[in-house]
Parts: sequence; C-alpha cells; structure tokens
Amino acid sequence: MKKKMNRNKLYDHIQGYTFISPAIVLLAVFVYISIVVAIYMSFNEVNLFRWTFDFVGFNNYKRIFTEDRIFKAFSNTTKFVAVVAPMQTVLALILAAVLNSKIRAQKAFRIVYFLPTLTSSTALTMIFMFIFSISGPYNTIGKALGFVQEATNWLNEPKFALKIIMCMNIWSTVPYYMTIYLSALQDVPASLYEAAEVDGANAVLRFLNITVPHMKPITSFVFITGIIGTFQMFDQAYIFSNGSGGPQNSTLTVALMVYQYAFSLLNDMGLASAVAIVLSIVIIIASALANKLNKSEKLYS
Amino acid sequence: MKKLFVLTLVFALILTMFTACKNENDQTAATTPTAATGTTEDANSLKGKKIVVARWGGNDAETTAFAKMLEEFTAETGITAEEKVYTDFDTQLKADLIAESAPDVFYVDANMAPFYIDQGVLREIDPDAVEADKFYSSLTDAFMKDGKLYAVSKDYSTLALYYNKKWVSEDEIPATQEELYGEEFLGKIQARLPEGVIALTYLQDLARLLDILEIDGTEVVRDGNLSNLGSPAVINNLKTIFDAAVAKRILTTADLGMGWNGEAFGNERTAMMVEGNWVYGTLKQEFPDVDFGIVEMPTYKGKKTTMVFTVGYAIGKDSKEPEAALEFIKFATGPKGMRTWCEGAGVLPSRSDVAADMGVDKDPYLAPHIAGADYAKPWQKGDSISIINREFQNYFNSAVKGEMTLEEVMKKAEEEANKQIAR
Repeated sequence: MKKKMNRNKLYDHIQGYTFISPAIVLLAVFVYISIVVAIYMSFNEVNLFRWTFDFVGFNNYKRIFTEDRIFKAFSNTTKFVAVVAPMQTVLALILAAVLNSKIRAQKAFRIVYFLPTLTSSTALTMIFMFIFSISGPYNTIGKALGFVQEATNWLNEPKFALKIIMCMNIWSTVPYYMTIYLSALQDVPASLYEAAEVDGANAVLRFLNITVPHMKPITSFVFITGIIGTFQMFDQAYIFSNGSGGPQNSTLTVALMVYQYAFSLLNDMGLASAVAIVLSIVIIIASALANKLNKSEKLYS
Repeated sequence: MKKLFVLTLVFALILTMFTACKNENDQTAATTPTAATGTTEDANSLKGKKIVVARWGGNDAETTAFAKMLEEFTAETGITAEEKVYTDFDTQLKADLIAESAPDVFYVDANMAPFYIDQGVLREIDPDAVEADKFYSSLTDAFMKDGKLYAVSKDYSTLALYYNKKWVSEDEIPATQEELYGEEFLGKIQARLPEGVIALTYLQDLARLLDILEIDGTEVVRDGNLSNLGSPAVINNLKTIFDAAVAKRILTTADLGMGWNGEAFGNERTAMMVEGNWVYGTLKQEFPDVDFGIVEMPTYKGKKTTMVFTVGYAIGKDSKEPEAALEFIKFATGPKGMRTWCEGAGVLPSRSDVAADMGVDKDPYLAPHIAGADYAKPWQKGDSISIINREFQNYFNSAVKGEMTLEEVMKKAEEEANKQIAR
C-alpha cells in the first residue's frame, strides 16, 4: 500500500515537471543562464567575435566608478527616474480619480487617455521630435505666445533633450497606470465617500483621506514598476539621439550605454555586463526603498 | 530531495544541449578552409548551390538593380543567391557573426572594414580571382591589410557641390573653399534668397570633414587609434567652415528642420549643398522641377580635395559555400554585374574598365563626382574613428552656439574619445 502511494506520487511529480518544463527551459535559457553568464563576463575582458575571455578581476567594476561618461549615464538615468516615476504615479492617480467621479463622457475620456499607451514608443518619439524640431509646433506656438524668443532646434539643446524625453515618457505611461488605478478604484466602498460627504468633506479632502490611503497597495505596485521601467529606459533615448546619447551625452541612459558597449564599435561585453549588473543592484535597492517607504503606514494592518 | 534531483536533471539536460551546439560549431569552423581561392573549382560543380547575400535597404532603383543582378548571376552560374536586407546593418551583422550564422556574402563599408578585418571574421580573397588590378587602387586599398584583400569594392561615391540654378550660376562659384565659405560670396547669394532659405548647408560629421582636417598632412588620429582632434593643426584646418557656421552663413539640415541634404535642397530650403552622388537619384525622381548643376569641390589650401565612400562585398568566415560566394563576388564586381548594378542604381563603378565602357565620365552630372575620385580621401581611419566621430558630433555644436570655444570643444571631444579608446 505504502509503495503504491509512492509510485503515484512519483508519477505526479513527473507529470508536474513535464508540464512546467517548457517554462523552466525558457526561463533557464533566457534568464537564469543569462544572469550567470553576465556575472561571469563582468569579470572578464570579452571579445565575442574571437570568443576570448580574459579574466581581469574587478577591473570592469573599477571603470564604472572612474569613467566620467559612465557617471554621466548614471546621473542622467537617476534624474530621469527621480522626475518620471513620482510624476507618473501622482498623475495617474489624479486622472483615475477624476475619471472615476461621475463626469460626463467618461468612456470617451478613458479611450482618449489610453491611446498614447497603445501607440508604439518609436512613433511617439518621432512625434515629440517633430513637436520640438525647429519647424515644429512648440516653436510656432511659443513664438506666438511669447515664451520662445528665437526658433530653436530643441533636440540639439543639451539642457532640453532629456526633459523632452521625460515629458514623452510621462505622457505615454500615465494612461497605463491610470487604468490600473481605475480598476482598483471600483473596490473602494461608495459608502465611505457618502459618509465623508455628509460630514462636509469636499472633493479634495475625500481624495486625500479616502482615495489615496485605499490606493496604497496599488501605488506601491505602480511606483515600483515605474522605477524599474524608467531605470531601464532605452528605446526613446536611442531613437532620439540616433543611438549616440547626444547632444553632449545629455540623453545617454545606462541602458543605452550598455547597448553601446555591448553591440556598437566599443565591442566590450565585459564592461557592458558589469554596468548591467550594477544597474540591477541599483534597481533592487531603489525598489526596496520605495516599498519600505510606502509600507510604513499599512492600509490593512 | 527529489525536487533537487529533478531540477539538477533538467539543468544537466540544458547544459548538454548547449555544449553539443558549441561543439558542432567548432567542428565546422575547423574543417572549412581559411581562404577562398577562385581558381580551383570547376564552375559546373557549383550549380544548384545556394548562398545568402546581405545588404542594407536602399532606394527603389537600388532594389530593382540588385534583383536584376542576382537574376543575371543565377542565369550565368546556376548558383542561387538569396537577398537578405538588414535594417540596422552593422548591429545585425555583428550579432549574426557572433552567432556564427552570418550570410555568405555581405556589404562592408570601408569605414568598418578595419574593425571586421581585425576581428578575423572576413575571409581572405585572392586578388587575381577578382581582377583587383582593374579597380581604382584607393578603392581596393580600403579593404586591404598587410597585403591581403578582404573585400571587393562594388561602387563608390564622392562629394561634389550641388547648386540650384535659380539662384546660383556656375561661373560665380569660387575656385577655393576659403572663398566659398567666406562672407563675400555667401553674403552675395544670401541677399538673393527668399526668407527661410539658406545659401549653403554643412554637416557636423567627420565623414564630411576628414579631407579638410587632414588637408596639409595633419592626422586626426595619433598613436595608432587615439583622437587628435584637439591639436592646433586640426583646429586650424576646421576654422574656415567653423567661422561660417558661427556667423550662420551656413546651417545644418537640422537647423532648417529637414532630415537630410537631399530633402533640404529638393524643397529649395538651401541654394547649395555638398553631397555625394547618391542624392542625384532622389533629386531626379522626387524633385524633378528643381533645376540644379554639379561642380567639383573647390580647392582648400590650394589643393583639390573631396571625400570618397566605398562599400565592398566580403565573405564571412563561417560561410558554408565559400567557392559559390566567391563566384558571386566575381560576378557582382566583374564587368557585367557591376555595369548592371551601377546603371540601375545610378552609382559609380569601382573598375576603370567598366567606367570607360559605361561612358560615365561623359555624363555632365556624374563627371564632377568621377573627377573627384582621382584626389579624394577615403572615409576610413582605423577602428576607432566611429568613437572619435561620435564625440566630435556630441560636442561640436556647443562651439557653434558659442557656449565653449572651438579649442575647448575639440579638446573635450578628444579627451572623451580617448578615454573610451585607451582603456
């Protein structure tokens, strides 16, 4: 009897592992093995064409902390995250709350707001590049309203390039997070709002004291995905600067620099791996901090 | 415990899969010959073979001409050649080379040739098999290293000065670039132009400036592969164009809100431009109403000068059909294939005998470009020029805007590049 049980159990196990094996194989090849290989490569000077690996110890890591260009990439990315991630979260929450109130043409607004998320980021980048180009609407409107003195090619201004990408990123990601908030808002009991209204709380007070605390777990999710997504920002910077990270390295993000070291002429997969690993550590720390901050006053404690 | 066992088994399975793959590759690499020699194989034995030729996408004329050339090649040799178009050419090609799945034959830009040759991913090509002596020597030299040939030039382009006849007449174009970029000439032209049109455009790109920067024997690269952009001699040679740019006598196409010179010139936003012959087809097809003329580049510091760009066909080291690949290169760079390609795509033949056959030097539009081939500087400078150029492009504009002096900018561009080159 006992033996039979065991055989059944073994059979179950085999069946189970067979079912999950496609996922395991895919994850192993494209995630776990890749991570191990990346860690290995980060301690080597790698030439993939010749398939040579020369062990260099912590040299690649040392370079990360000594080279100006790498520092610039990290500082650009940090600035980008510091602006975009909180803005995304706050704007998404406000928009969701507004759309959740009983305003007219709610559905139409939802569709309009969601459209940018459906558009490919390449197309969005092209649109923004047109808006801020010398003959674009920003210059035309700005001149007419007086906030632009002289028509400028804003894409070529190191002070503006990253800001343009920030705007673009916020604009295109807010609707996605807004949708998540919207669905969560359905779960907030209407009676809370009614009670607050009876007590004389206005819309702002109701938003701050009911919506915001109730959305805390969602905010946590949105903020952390936002941080991870913005730290890894690549496509918009790549298209914007044609892969160079210019003007004057102002749009050079860490992900773009990793790409340059790995696949463009620099041909330095070792350093690219090291930078990628440092970036993951930074992301992990940032996410943990964000999580901790948000958890400090729990909703369901 | 059992879980651990099964997990280990799965991992072991994957690992064996990987090692198996890698071994297989090593074997094929070991058994294939290192150099392709075209003299041994009987052409008949290659019939029915299949090769893949990779290129980047071009305009319609180029696509048609390439397809026609492939057809002719198959008709003559019985080898099937399949076309593969890369959209992001060098990135995709590198990935394929690393994965050992690169096409048999692919384009190599002269500018990228030193890099690929150094990485050992190109097969050596027997110069006699492709009649290398029939080519303009500067075009074959671009693909040689240590006396060995690694790619065969398929065509070339040089820069020349295009002018819109509505505003500029040929006989008033100065003979020197000092005058061309000077206040007197450009001011005179600018006075005739309507609002929003500039007299002349320029590019912030070493690919367009290298001949000027090195006009008096100055080198933009020192100590093998380091940037030398900050040297007084280089800065001095750049002065003429820089002064014109600062004074806004010349603008970039981005300043005009245009994508590139062909668009700016075709839409009559600039009266003159310095461009390669690739723009000719665009102007004829998309802007047939623009009446333009072409002249050779004016001299600089008393010397005739322009840039020449060339692209060659190379055979990948992992090609399974090196003989068939060589047959393709022999045909595509031979008299017949090159003529089909050049006539169809409107580009210039790299072989002097084909040029004579086609009579391109009699063509009033192409003649200035061909004349340039005699004294042009190839766009090629070791394996670090891309980095040097990127940093130049990164910083040059801040000198034009007056945020930094030209000396500071060039020094900065040099330092940034050298930090990346000399690790």
